[in-house]
Amino acid sequence: MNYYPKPMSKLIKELSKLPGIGPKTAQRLAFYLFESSRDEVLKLASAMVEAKESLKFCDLCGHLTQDSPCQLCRDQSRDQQTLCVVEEPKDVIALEKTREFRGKYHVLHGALSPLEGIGPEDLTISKLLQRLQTGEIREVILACDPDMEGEATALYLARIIKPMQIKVTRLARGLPIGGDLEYIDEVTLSKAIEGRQEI
Amino acid sequence: MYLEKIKIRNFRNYCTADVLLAPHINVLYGNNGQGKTNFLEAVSFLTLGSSFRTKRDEELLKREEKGFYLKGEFLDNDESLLLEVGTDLNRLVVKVNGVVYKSKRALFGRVRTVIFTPDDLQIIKGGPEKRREYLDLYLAQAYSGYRKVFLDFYRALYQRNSLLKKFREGFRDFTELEIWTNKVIEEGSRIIYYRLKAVEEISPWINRYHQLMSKEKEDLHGLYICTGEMRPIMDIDCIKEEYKKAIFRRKIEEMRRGYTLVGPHRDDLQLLLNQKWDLRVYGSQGQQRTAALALKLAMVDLIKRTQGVPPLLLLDDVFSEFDNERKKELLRLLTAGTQTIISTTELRDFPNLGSEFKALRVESGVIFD
Ligand SMILES: Nc1ncnc2c1ncn2[C@@H]1O[C@H](COP(=O)(O)OP(=O)(O)OP(=O)(O)O)[C@@H](O)[C@H]1O
Ligand SMILES: [Mg+2]
Ligand SMILES: [Zn+2]
Repeated sequence: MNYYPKPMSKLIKELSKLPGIGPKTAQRLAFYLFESSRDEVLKLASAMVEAKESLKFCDLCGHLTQDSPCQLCRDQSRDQQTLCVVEEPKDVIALEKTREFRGKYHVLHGALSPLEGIGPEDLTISKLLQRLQTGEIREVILACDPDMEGEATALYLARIIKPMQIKVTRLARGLPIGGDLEYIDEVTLSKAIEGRQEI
Repeated sequence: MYLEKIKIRNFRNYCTADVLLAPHINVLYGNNGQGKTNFLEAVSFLTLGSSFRTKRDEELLKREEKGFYLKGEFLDNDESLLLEVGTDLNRLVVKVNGVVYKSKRALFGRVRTVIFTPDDLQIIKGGPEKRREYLDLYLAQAYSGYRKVFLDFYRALYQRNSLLKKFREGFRDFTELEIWTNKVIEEGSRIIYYRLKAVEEISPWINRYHQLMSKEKEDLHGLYICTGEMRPIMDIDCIKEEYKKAIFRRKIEEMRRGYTLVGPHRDDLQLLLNQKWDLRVYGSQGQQRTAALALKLAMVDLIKRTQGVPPLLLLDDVFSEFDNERKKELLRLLTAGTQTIISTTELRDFPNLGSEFKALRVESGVIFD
């Protein structure tokens, strides 16, 4: 990398630290930035700094926000008795886009994975239990990712929430819309059969 | 499904080779060190996505070259399948019918393949992991659900072991442990179930092939051995129950040692002569060799039965250690229905090459029709 002048190699090094960016892409981005106008580069840099400095996680639900509690937590028109638990802020966005869910959220910031050293104490589980203790919430919807770690997390939460006399449900695992049955993998299909519903 | 054509570029000692194969039996002959095993390795790399000799792709690359490329054209009645894999060691390109995939795993399972090499004696003589590898490789090809269950089991197992390590250091969350224990039991039971079922089915075939090929005429049977005093009952719910009990019995010890002590990752396939004598201990060299081959041939039958079509059969140097009588028996067992590529240094082991046979001569990385 020291074929480049120092500022360039420094920029490449920083860029390649970003997720999904390898050394080659980092090089391409660095050249792109170098060839962009000073204005463009400043816009990008200030957007990054501004995002970093003005954003935080909501103290209540853990969602990404400028002010805590976040807008979703403050919105009294939402169903105050239903709480949807997700792994990441981007899952909140995904669910909001569907406009199907009008309750409140709780973001765990991850899933149980002993391999990566992530245990219950590393997630926002104690905060979740505090929220449930107020007695306002009647139903918890577990919307963890449908992978092994997500499922383990959901089972773990179900185990500790159920004794609190709160209804615990989880998202139905269905078939992708527009998917051809023939091409859907066995696991998805068998889960879909397991979770079949009367119509 | 059979391999009609293979294109090899810079793989092992091959620079360029374009070979047409016959749908039945192909005899690859040549002196030592000419490239017979390398050819079989190329074929199996295409169909399994891995080599039977090495895990390191750089060893496969022809020395002093920058990248290798393999392409196989397979035919099945009027359907065709195109498998391609190429790498310059930085980038890997895998294509199935022209569609690009990210990993070599995408090649696996499209053309089922059974390989025998002289190293397979280790299945008999080596540790239990060799026999588990044997079962896993072929069960993944015989049962379409096996590979997924296998990968899920190991993921759950590593998660549980990481947690048990924390238990050893004094951390305790029994709810979390129970969740991962259940996952391990759930996936592990299915592996045990598949393996029990498979061993029961292949055992008579193993015996038959062994009887045909070995001189001693002793019975040979396979027996699946579960760890942790689990009773091997062939019912998925019973296995789960047994597995649960077995893990419970070892709970304290697992927390002390920091890993999972019971399960398919520690099971074994025992091979018994006359229902009683461990082949590993009591078998003659010759019996052990024929047994290794019998294990592989039995998998051809299992795959035929579960998939409805025979796998591709690759036999490396099977003849070298057999006497004439056993060579003859083996030749009789090869059938035109299963595409076979068999390597040998002695073409005269194939006395009357009929129309079912195609002979290919190999000389320092060049193949002559
Ligand atoms: N990466 C490589 N690049 C170039 N040549 C290689 C490479 N790997 C192995 N070889 C060469 O390939 C030859 C061995 O080929 P192979 O193992 O296929 O022989 P064979 O025909 O099976 O012989 P035998 O009858 O002894 O088993 C050796 O000469 C070896 O040096
Ligand atoms: Mg060889
Ligand atoms: Zn909030």
